Order: sequence, then C-alpha cells, then structure tokens
Amino acid sequence: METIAVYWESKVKVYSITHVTDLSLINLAFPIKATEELGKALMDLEDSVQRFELVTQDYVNSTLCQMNLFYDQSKQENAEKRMRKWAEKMQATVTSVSHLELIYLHGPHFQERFGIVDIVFSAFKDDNIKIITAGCAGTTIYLAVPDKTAVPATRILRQKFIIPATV
Amino acid sequence: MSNDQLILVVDDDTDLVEMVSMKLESENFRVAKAYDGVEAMDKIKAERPALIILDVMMPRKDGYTLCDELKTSDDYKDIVVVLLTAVTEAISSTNYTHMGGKTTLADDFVTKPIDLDKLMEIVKDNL
Amino acid sequence: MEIVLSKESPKISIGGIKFSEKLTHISLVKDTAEDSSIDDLLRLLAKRRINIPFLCHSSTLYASQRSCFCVSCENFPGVLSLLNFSSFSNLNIKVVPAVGTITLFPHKNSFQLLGQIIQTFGKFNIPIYSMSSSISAIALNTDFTSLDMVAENLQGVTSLPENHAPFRQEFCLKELHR
Repeated sequence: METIAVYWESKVKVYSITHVTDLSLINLAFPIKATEELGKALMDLEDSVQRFELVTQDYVNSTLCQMNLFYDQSKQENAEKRMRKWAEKMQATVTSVSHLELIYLHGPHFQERFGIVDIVFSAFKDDNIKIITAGCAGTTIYLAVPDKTAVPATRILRQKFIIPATV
Repeated sequence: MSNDQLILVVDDDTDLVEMVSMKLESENFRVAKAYDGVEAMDKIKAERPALIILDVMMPRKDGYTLCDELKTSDDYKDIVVVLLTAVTEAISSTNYTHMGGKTTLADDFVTKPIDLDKLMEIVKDNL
Repeated sequence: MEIVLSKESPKISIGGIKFSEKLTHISLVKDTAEDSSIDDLLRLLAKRRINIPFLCHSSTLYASQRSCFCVSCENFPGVLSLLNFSSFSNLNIKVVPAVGTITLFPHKNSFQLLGQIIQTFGKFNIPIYSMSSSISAIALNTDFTSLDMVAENLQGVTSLPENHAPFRQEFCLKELHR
C-alpha cells in the first residue's frame, strides 16, 4: 500500500468531541458457539430498542466471548428482558449497568496516527476518570464513562486537543 | 427557507461522511453519500445534487480530478462544488498539491479539520 | 443512504466494505482494576510512534481490565520488546499474528445489520477476535486470510452499491513525528 502523505502536528486537531447521556450497558458473556443465535437475538432488538450507541466485543477465553452493548436507557427494561431470556437459553450471562455516558471524538486519519489514544487515556488517568469501555475504530474514539462524568471529561479533552471553535 | 435540496457528501473517511450528513439532515437538507470519486460520479449522474461536498484525497478518483471533470462538463458545471482540502499545516509531504481549493475550479473550499457550523454557512451561501 | 430491509429483498443496503492491511492482534488481561499497566503500555507505544489502528478496552466486569488492540505486523517486534519488560509480567497476553479488520459502513445504529453480521460470523464459524463500532461503521477483526471469504458471506445478507469502492485500500497516511 502506498503512503501518500505524512502528518506533522504539534497538537492533534479533532473534528468534534460530543457526548451522550442516559445510556445503559448490557454486558453479555456468551459461548462462542452461540454466536449465530446471538445475531438473531440482536435483530430482535430492532423493534423494541431501535438503535445501539456503541458495541464492542472480544474474547474472554477460548470458549467465551463478551459483548458490550450501549443503548438508550429508556429502553433498558425491554432490552434486558429479551437478552436475559436469550441468555438463559444459551448459557450466557447478562450484566446490566445504567446511568452511563458516552463521549466520542473523531479526527483526521485517527486510525493511521500514533499516540492519540494515549493522549485520552493519560488525561483521564491523571484526573481519575474511569473508562468503562473504550472502542477505537475508523477515525472515532468512543469512551464510556460513569454518570455525571462526561462533562468534566470533555472539558479535559478540550484542553488536550484542538477543536474547531464553534462545534 | 426550505433546505430540501440534495447535497452529495463525498469522502473516504466514512465517519466524517456520517457526521457531515447528520448535520446537513438536521438543517433539513437531503443527503446522498459516496466514498470515492468514481462512486460519486455515479451518484451525480443518477441523483443530480445541487451541491457536492468533496474531499481531495480519495482512492480511484481524487477530488481535484472529479471537480475538474464536473466544471468542464456542460451537463454538470452548474453543480456547486465545495472542496474539503487536506490539513495543509499538518501534512508536510504528500503526493497531492495543496492548492487551497480556490485555485481549482471549485466554487468554495473548507480546510480540515472542518468546523461543521462554518461548513453549513458555506453550503447555504453557495445555494 | 437508508438501511433497507424489504420482504422482497432480505439484504440490507450498505455503502461499502473495507479491509485493513495485515495486522497483529494483541489481547491483554490484568486481574486488578487498579493496576496501570495498560496505560503505561499505551504511553510507551506512543513514545515509539507505534500506531494502534484498532483498540477495544473494557473494565466493567470480572474485577479486571481487558484490552485488545492491533498494530501493523512490522510494528509487532517493537510491541513484543515492550511486553517483555517485567512491569508487564502481570498481564495475561495473547497474540494472533495475522488478523485483518473488516469494516462495514454505514451501520446507521441498526440492530438488524449488527445482528446479520454477528449471525453470519457465527453461521460460518468465523472468529471475531474483537469488534467495535465507530460513528459510521462496524469493524471486526478476524483471520487475515479469511477476509475475502468473510466479505463474500456478508454479501449474502448485505447489498453494496453497483460501483462501490474497492475493499482494499489504495493508500494510507503515516504520522512521522509530533
């Protein structure tokens, strides 16, 4: 693959930093062999939960995966009920957390530039802000943080990055 | 003012296309999306947008080439083209010449990282 | 572009699919939530100018922190030399040497699309080493050699524009220094 340009920036510019509040998280720990069935269960959420805000997944061990699904808290009862029913059938476990907030920032070619996630993690560590989940893909960094944390966390990020003034 | 004109957003950064589209939709514009110059030309022929927000660095056909094709075509020269030029201060070397937008045939330009509110002003001013 | 699922055509319209270059996938688990090894590692990777094109991190459950990230294969020896430091001996590390990220866009926050993707991976027993959504896309890491097969299978449930952009990228950018 050709490298067509190289970056030089003393302080990283971002397109925007935004946050969403009042989210719930469903953490599913499920057997890998239940993946196909999980797909069907997720499709069933379309009518009742409507949209997801963030989804991440990784391996717990060679037989178990975990998925973190963030969505609007007002849909929690419905989403939880459906996923618990599914989990019971599939020997999966569901853990639910509410009152979460999600910050997302994105910037030019973030997936191709070093050190950007470190700027975020270091800043949050210095200010004791707990990152519940982070998902960095494409040019986006998503950060799930506890209730009432997004505003101070965003303020910290605004000091670390250059953001277009009016966004 | 009714903003129901069609705007085509073209960029290989899919997250940026989504952000700009959401902003345009919130201002009641209709939005079409394309992720490189070739796909954009198909959308232009099929949907004839009033304005195109066009990235420069893209696979298959870059923004400068597409812009020149449109502006030298009798069929498409009236479509407003707003170029999203690269982060000129941040990129020190590149295969692309950073002409700053105005030296191309484009109607206007915005430098990245874009200020969405400024972009909306430019879109409205050019329609 | 709206996500459309009609009775006549069960396929979901999407804007495109992208493949990454060949990457190495590294998973880290640490048993205590207090320890700062993952932050330290990220700091060291940044100092060495090692880019992380994908990361997924979670510290919710199991009283532990789990992170997984990808680096280009050429950068992996640099990561390995850092992981050999004794300060990271508390981490449970797993490496998949050759993964590729397959990215589908736009997702439009649709459970229908997410479900179809997950179902397809499950149906064909394709591993998902990790996954994260971005503003527009769903990115999944799987075996690099399986990318074409995965894309083919996913096209059984999604439909692409006629003249869509190629799956493999033509160029990339690189940040040399800051």
